[in-house]
Amino acid sequence: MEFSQNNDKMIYVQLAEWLEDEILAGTFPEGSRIPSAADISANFKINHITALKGVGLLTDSGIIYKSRGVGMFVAEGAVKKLQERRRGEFCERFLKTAVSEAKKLGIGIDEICGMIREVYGNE
Amino acid sequence: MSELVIENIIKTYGKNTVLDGVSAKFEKGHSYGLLGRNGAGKSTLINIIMQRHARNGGTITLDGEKLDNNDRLLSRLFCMNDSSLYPSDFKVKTVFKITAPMYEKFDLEYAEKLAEAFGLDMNKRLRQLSTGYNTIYKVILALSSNADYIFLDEPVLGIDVNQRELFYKTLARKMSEGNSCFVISTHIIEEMQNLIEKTLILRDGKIILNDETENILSRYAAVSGKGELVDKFTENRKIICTESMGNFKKAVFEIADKEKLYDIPAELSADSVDLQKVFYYLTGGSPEETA
Repeated sequence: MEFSQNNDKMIYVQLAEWLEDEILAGTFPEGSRIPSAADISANFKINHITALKGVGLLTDSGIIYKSRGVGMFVAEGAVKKLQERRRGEFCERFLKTAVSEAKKLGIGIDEICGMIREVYGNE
Repeated sequence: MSELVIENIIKTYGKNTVLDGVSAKFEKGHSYGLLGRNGAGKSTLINIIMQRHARNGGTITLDGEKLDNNDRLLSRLFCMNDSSLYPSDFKVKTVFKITAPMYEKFDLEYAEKLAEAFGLDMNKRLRQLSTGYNTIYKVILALSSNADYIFLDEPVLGIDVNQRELFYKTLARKMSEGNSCFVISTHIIEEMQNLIEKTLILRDGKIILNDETENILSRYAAVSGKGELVDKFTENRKIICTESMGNFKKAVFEIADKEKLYDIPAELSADSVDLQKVFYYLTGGSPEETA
């Protein structure tokens, strides 16, 4: 995992999304401690101010909380909160891109739906 | 907040002006990338700040006090560069022992730990060190100095990829302690661009860009595709550089206020530009290719 400047998203946003993904995947379960900003900086070779900014996005939205002198923890209910928000973004982030590519290639609506069904079933 | 301020630094060698009125501010707890092509004046500027070179004009102050000939203030600064301050028959461990008492917060134990991590044999004499280890022992001194202001002039010269990785991680951790200000000059921008919070670009002895790295990145973008469409899109925009290949054209431009990347026409591709690319374009691109 590396964060790149060749990305529409700033490094701190990429970091926040990575943390969210790992919380959703259960790598950092609710109630558990997430790595410190210093560990994150060293691991991803990013500036600590960027790391703090990324983590700040999650504390602002109540996904994680800080316990002074102890560390940062995943809040109870974080997974549900993230799922709800990500669902709202699903269409914008994934479907629109897929549909626009499909249109470019002349793939019709029924054909896309068929493909989605097939992919979904195979998973 | 502690700060090192340089104002209107001028340096000339005969008729040649190397630094032409350079001003900047470095704050403790922050990190700066001092970038420039060969001969832009980076090393000269660092040497002037460290009082190793004389200057023709300008002032340098640390927390409001003049730095000149003030050993007490100078001991709060550490500089690593390609020059060695010690005789080449000294052993690495001797150099560590001599350097330690010169800096109030020097951590000798940490230095020894780093030497082990980097695989540096402390019993070797300086002249026995390879190019890479010659850089590494100086980097270790810098990271262990805990000086308020640490200047690293080409800190990865000759270092292999595994050791560079270790260096970047160690540096990131050191930075996050927030007790020092790091000013780093490097040509390997790509590997360090996420580590430097603020970027200064020197060109022909002048600072042409001084801003937070994040702001710089959000200020430039690239658009590419069919030549006419790219021309039409960039018509009223500030173009930094263009490249063509047949009817394919790519233009790097400055993003106007609040202009969003996704406003770019669907027939064109938009790309973000990383710091190395911004640097490359702002400092003249590549010399003419000869076929």
